[in-house]
Amino acid sequence: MKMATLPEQAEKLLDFSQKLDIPLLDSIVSCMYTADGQQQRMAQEVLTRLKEHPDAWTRVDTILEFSSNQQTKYYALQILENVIKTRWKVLPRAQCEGIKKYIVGLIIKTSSEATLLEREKVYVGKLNMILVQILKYEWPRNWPTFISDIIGASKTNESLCQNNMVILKLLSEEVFDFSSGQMTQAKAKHLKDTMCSEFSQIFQLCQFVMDNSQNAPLVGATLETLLRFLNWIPLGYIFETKLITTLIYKFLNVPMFRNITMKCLTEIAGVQAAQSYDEQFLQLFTLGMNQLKQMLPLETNIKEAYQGGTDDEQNFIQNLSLFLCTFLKEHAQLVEKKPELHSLLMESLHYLILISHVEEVEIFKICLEYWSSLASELYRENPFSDSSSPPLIFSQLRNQNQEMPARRLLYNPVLSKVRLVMISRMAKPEEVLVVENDQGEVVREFMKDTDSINLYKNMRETLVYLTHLDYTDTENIMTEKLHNQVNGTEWSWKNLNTICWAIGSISGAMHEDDEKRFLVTVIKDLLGLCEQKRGKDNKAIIASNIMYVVGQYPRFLRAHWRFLKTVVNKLFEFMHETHDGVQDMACDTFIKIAQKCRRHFVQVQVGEVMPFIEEILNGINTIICDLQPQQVHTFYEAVGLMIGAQTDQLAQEHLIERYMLLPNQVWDGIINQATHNVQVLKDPEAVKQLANILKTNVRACKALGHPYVVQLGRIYLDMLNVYKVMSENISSAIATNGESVTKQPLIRSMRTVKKETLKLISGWVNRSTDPQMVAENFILPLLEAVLLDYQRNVPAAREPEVLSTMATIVNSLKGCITKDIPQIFDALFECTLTMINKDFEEFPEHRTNFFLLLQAVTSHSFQALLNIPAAQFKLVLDSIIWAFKHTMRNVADTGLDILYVLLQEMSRQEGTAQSFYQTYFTDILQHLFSVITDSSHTAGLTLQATILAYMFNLLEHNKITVPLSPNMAAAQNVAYVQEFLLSLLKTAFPHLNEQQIKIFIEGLFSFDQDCNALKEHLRDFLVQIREFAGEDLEDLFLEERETAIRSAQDEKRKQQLAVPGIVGPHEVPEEMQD
Amino acid sequence: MDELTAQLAGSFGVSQDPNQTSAPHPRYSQYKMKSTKQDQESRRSRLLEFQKSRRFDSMNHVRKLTDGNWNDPTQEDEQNDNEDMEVELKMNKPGRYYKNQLMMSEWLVEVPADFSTEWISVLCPVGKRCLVVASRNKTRAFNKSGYCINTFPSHLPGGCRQNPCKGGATILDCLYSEAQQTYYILDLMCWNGCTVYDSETEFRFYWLHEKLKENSTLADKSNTNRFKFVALPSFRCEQEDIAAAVSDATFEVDGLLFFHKRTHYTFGSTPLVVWLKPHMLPEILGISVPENQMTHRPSHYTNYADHLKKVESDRIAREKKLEERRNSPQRGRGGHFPRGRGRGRGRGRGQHHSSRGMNMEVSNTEPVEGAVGAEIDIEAIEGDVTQTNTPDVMASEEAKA
Repeated sequence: MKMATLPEQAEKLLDFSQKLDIPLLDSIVSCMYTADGQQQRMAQEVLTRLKEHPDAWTRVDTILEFSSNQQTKYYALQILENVIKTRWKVLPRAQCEGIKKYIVGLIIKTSSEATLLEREKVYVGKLNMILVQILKYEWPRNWPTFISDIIGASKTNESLCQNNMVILKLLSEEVFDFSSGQMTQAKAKHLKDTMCSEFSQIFQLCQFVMDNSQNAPLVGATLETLLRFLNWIPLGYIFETKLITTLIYKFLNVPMFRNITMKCLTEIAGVQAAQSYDEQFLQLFTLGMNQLKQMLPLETNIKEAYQGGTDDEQNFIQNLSLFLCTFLKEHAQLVEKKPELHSLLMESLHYLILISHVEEVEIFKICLEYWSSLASELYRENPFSDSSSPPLIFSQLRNQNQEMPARRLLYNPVLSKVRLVMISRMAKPEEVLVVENDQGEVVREFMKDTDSINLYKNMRETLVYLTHLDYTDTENIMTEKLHNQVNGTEWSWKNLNTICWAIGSISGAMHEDDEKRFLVTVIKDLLGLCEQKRGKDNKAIIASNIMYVVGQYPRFLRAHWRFLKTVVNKLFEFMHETHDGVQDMACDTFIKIAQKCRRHFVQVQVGEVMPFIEEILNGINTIICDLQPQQVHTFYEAVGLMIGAQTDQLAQEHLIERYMLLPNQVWDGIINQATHNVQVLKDPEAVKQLANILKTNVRACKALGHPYVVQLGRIYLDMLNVYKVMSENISSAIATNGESVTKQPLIRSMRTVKKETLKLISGWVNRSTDPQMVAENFILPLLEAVLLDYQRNVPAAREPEVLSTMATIVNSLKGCITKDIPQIFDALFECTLTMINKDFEEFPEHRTNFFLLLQAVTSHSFQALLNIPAAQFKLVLDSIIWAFKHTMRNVADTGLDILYVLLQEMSRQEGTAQSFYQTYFTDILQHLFSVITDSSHTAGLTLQATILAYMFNLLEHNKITVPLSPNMAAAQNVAYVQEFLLSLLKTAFPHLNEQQIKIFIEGLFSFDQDCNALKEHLRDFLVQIREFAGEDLEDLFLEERETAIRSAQDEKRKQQLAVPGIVGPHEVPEEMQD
Repeated sequence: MDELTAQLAGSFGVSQDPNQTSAPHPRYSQYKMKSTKQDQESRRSRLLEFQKSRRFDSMNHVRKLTDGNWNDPTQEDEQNDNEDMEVELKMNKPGRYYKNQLMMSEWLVEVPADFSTEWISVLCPVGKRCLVVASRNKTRAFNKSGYCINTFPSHLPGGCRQNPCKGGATILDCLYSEAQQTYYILDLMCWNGCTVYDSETEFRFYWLHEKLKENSTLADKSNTNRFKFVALPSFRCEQEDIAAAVSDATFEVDGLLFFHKRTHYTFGSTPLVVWLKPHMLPEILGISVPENQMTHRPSHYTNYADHLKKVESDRIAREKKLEERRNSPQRGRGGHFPRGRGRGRGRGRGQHHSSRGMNMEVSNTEPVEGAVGAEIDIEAIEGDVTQTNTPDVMASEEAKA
């Protein structure tokens, strides 16, 4: 098709007075799917316009009938779906009936014949979906016989029946699984009730099919449908029929149905029912297990079977694990009570053990969840180890195993196998990511929240419980596993890592003496292994494992100084090792040990002449000389942690001075040169070095906390001067070369210097303990160096960290900084606001930090806000409103947070509050409603609801004593706000009718005590505004809603009455007054 | 526990180079180090022998370093660990991508017989060891593991745009002092395209000093020479020369390197370059040093009791060798002993060990006397921990001698 003709053609399609040109539509649709570039865009535009046309749906039948193109048909169905979802209520009834009949007819036609149904599977699927959409409006009120209709139709023809099963499944999903946020609560409840009450017909049909049909696809569809029903149908259908036996005997062993049957059984196993069904659960277990044993002999190697299995077989293993775990978690206690079933129980656990060895992490997670709950249950029941040797007096009382709880006795043999599973599969405890940061440096990041780390945490927890239950067993398994590394039978890097992670994971779970004995053998074995293996690669892996294990046991290290010292000296040796990763490992282990054993390095240990920290500082040059800057920073942080443990202030200051000697030498060198010739600060090497020294300082500060002040004081003023010079350099570079110059390496390093300076200062202020001192000595020069510079700079050269630093300062210094807030605001507020008020995206960091600053001031220096001029205050409020209108989630949340705090703070300011309410109350409401009713802000619904509740509470409790309306008295504020909202919402949503809106507004006041209910109320309203209500109000269930609102109101009142004095004397009901 | 600590301190490591300087000096370590099957001295002579037959394509290597291109199809065996060091002596290959390109020293454990005639010493300031490569108009410095610490212009041939030496490249072995903004040149491998990897130390040093004289602007900082380049002076290995150098040092001394005159520039650790910290000079070479150079002495240096234990465990393995060494006429006593005999431990390791070894031997046959001697040792240490050696020890030693 020629491009030029496209728009013309489109006009023809959109002209509803002409007959629709089907071939034309077909060609545009295929153009949309197959063409590219300009042509495809235009085709898409035409189709979108057509789809949005209010009368488009009238063409659907023609398209479906005459088009030969499948894609065109889908397109038509999309149009139809759209109109049903939003405008069903405003279509004339006759049209509705027409559409309904048409769709039903189409479905019957296409699904009546098995081959056609198979061929047009996707098309029928879409039709089914549309029918369900219609049902959501029509059933049961306008189509009360739907269920019997569909059941009746099903009996005519097997393939029709099969598709009807699919429709029932979809309906069940729509009503029970996905109704939240799609239907109002009242409507969903009504549909659920209807479905339950008519379920017996559906169930009979299912049972009939299961009992009689030989048609495999039909039976499959029926089982699928049944599966969806199982989580809501009345329990009698499950337990008082022969459903369970049918599933197990008839379908479980049929390969084609075993997966879906297993899922059904799992669903049943998960039912929490009263005791009356205990028998049935036991039956489910025994029959199920016996059937399973025939299908999957107990001696099967499931791990291998899984590896070589088909998709279907693999799914079966997964479903089996789900069934067993679900059943055992919910009902194992029943089985435990029947000794005759114990062997079956053991067999089921045997399956689980076998499945736990399958190398598929998702399946393992299923098993892990069960093992974890079993282990923790057994431990909580009786937190004593089997292997602990109690004092003699108790052991005499305790005869052979008599004291061991019966459950423990039962599970003991399995637990040992579970230990083996945990130990031989232990997950990776830490994840390091190598990334490039904003300044173009490659850095390592420790990940906190990955799948693997969560898996480690769960496994660790489980293994710790298991170790508490019997630590000798854990120890034996680990020792044996380790021996297999040493003797080579299981030697591999992966296995070695795994066993060492396992060993490291149970730190602290044993008694100290046992732990010591165990660790000594472990480390000995590992050292022996390291000596035995050839090749640096091998040795490096073993060495890092040794260091990992050692680092996991700080209690052991603290108790053995000479060993600890040797470890640290060995780490220093490794800091010179050039083999890949060894230096990183050494630095990471060093800081880990420093964190846990810091005190021991500043004390004089037995057999030593001085604290070890002195030795480190003596040799620091040599120790770090082969490290990369990043590693040096880690090293400094570690040493800083040690120095931080020195409690004697004088001694500590002395240590800090020596500690910072080397960086200070370099720093002084550059500063001295710069005082003679400021051009030095444009030398790339010098700038890089400064950035590097600042980073070292940042880490030192992080480790030392407040005492870092001695070092900060030493470099503070020079650092701020450097900041100014860097900033001027950057500004002038931008002035001469334009903004693109900020990408240049030199300018980037200069910005790094600025950023690190701010990071250092905010990091320290955040950790400082004397706000008064900080405010008096450090703030003034900082503001001088930073604020004006920020204001004057071009936006691209403004560091967002200035804003976050100020936020940190306000957060930390609170009241002490109030007097400086006007100055900070003057410099930062307007110029930042103009950067971010054009749109919602640009300068994301400035945006986030700006609002964080605003939040800090609102929460900690509210007085400062009250003192600023009215015009500026309006600006502040406007920016808060601007903030919560963002779709950037963090910004919107901050905005709502600020608003909430502001309202709370304001309510404490008697005088100011009233004029605030008068000016802004309805304004704020209006803006709040604009975000609440915007579906892109639903994530903030909880906070929005909280604030609304707070505001309505203010109103209701007469906290607002000034009239909000110019025309009405203060006493009528509630009425005024209600009226205000009514007109607001009416204009915003003309398709809703007044009754709907009124009920909504009433609800807002009734639910303002219960934030959750208010949230649901808002959510319902959101559903309503998506649909055109039309004249028919009945299925909006307004009455039900009104009843709910009334009862909430009564409840609220009752609560108020219960607290003497809450309700004013004139409101108290008469009968209570005597 | 002690055994475990000893095992961890001793033999545990990734690189198994003998006498590596990142570990404590075997003599000063509180724990027994992994002993090599071959002693330092015999490895030296074998290495020198091996050097003659070795063929190393230094031109090709220089090209790799200066062009940064390692795509050499002929050399695939980069996984070449020096694992079999003990089995058979061989030369280390240089690493890929600027890693392991430097000639690293071992601790000076056994003072060579030809120390004063065949060795050259260099005084080293505190600094980061690095490889400096000037090529293609820029100068880059890499640390031991190949990480690029700096890129800057310099007046080294090939090191900056303004430099007239087109195409020429320079490779140096330096110590970078961040505080002084100076690269102290330790060794020269290639100057203006002319490679001297395969030349002997004496020549390399001579060449280095000649070239630096010709290019005097290297010693000054400027826009086109961002860091100073200063050649470290070398000395004869005579006690008085070394002593004078140490006491006249203008920088903070980290230690001393001793180069064998005939060694080529090789990669990784070699016994033909050895290293001592200043505080070790009195004991190992019998050279006294100013007190300020003794300050970085490790605290356990005084812990002689542990040292004795170690010596005992070493004794059996070394006895035979020590016998030979003691009979060697080269063992010099020639040091000056300004602090009296108490400090004068300048007889070299062999002598020292033989006397300790004898001491122990005697104590085996005459348990009473030996035990007393050992006891005094410990008491002396506990009594005055800062003293390195005590007259009592000497006295008992002398008595036995």
